[in-house]
Amino acid sequence: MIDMRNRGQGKLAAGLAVGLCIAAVSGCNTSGSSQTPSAGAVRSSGETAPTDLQLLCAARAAEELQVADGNVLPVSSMRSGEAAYQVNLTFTGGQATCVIDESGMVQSVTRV
Amino acid sequence: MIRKTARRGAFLGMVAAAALAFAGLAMAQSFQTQIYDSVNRKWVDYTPRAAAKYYNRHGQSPEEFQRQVVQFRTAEKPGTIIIDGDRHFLYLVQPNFQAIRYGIGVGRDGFGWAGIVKIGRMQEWPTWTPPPEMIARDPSAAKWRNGMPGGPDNPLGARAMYLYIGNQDSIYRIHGTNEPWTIGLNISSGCIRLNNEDVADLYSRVEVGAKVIVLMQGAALYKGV
Repeated sequence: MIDMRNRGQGKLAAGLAVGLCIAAVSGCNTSGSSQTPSAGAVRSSGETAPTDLQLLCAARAAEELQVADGNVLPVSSMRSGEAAYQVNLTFTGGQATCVIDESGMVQSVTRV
Repeated sequence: MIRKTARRGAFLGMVAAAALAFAGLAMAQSFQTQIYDSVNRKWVDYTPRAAAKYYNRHGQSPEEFQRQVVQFRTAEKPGTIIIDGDRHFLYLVQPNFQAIRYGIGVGRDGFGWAGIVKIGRMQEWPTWTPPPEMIARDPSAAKWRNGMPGGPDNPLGARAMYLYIGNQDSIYRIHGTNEPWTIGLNISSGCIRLNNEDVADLYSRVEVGAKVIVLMQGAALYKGV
């Protein structure tokens, strides 16, 4: 029985470790392209989800979570896997996370 | 039952990690613009000095900060303004999943903000009156404590759109500028600046009451939420 409890704790620790690694690299910028940029091209020093994807997440969260005034604000975002983004949202009375793919399909909305 | 405990532990770990990632990102430093140096083949910081140098050489800001129509997938109605402070763009939502995109300058570190507000009033060639806290930071602004008349030397530039929360002035504006090379920079006290040609274009397309959504990772404060 003691051995089984340790396995459960091990799984929890592994989950936390993976999550901490994700948090540690979440602010890192990636160029996202192997093409040489043109002279004078600009970019942001950090990678966020495209603006419109952030808003799609906010709209979906407002609907699914039945936010009273409909005002859901994206406060941060990051890559989630190769072809999706996690968008963190705030609204009166709570927070949520949303995962959305690059085509604009919302994969999940989770109240935090 | 033992397997369920293990799975539950892993799930709780991931939820905790998501919350940590949420909190960590919310406290992250604001993002800066970088520009590609084709001579040295690397990305470099687009500092105020680099921006002034670029502007002097080309007569305008980098191409991506020029006004242009882009694809924009959103449920927000046409006439809504979306400000992405991290990427230094302002979008005016148009029909058919398009937007007009403008390059902007935003608040410097400690002055960035995010929220959901609206345009409360609008003014052409507005008077600029520095607030007391600005005069305290910069005594040279004191001579304008009673208001600097509108004109080409006025920091608000050709137009100003005053941002409100309900019926209350948020103190933030979308305005033009007498420093057009600062588009793309984190440089203001929190207001959103466009070059005068762009702000006049935007002004001609929006109305009092228009919804304004301001996105900025690591914002110092939030308005309207």
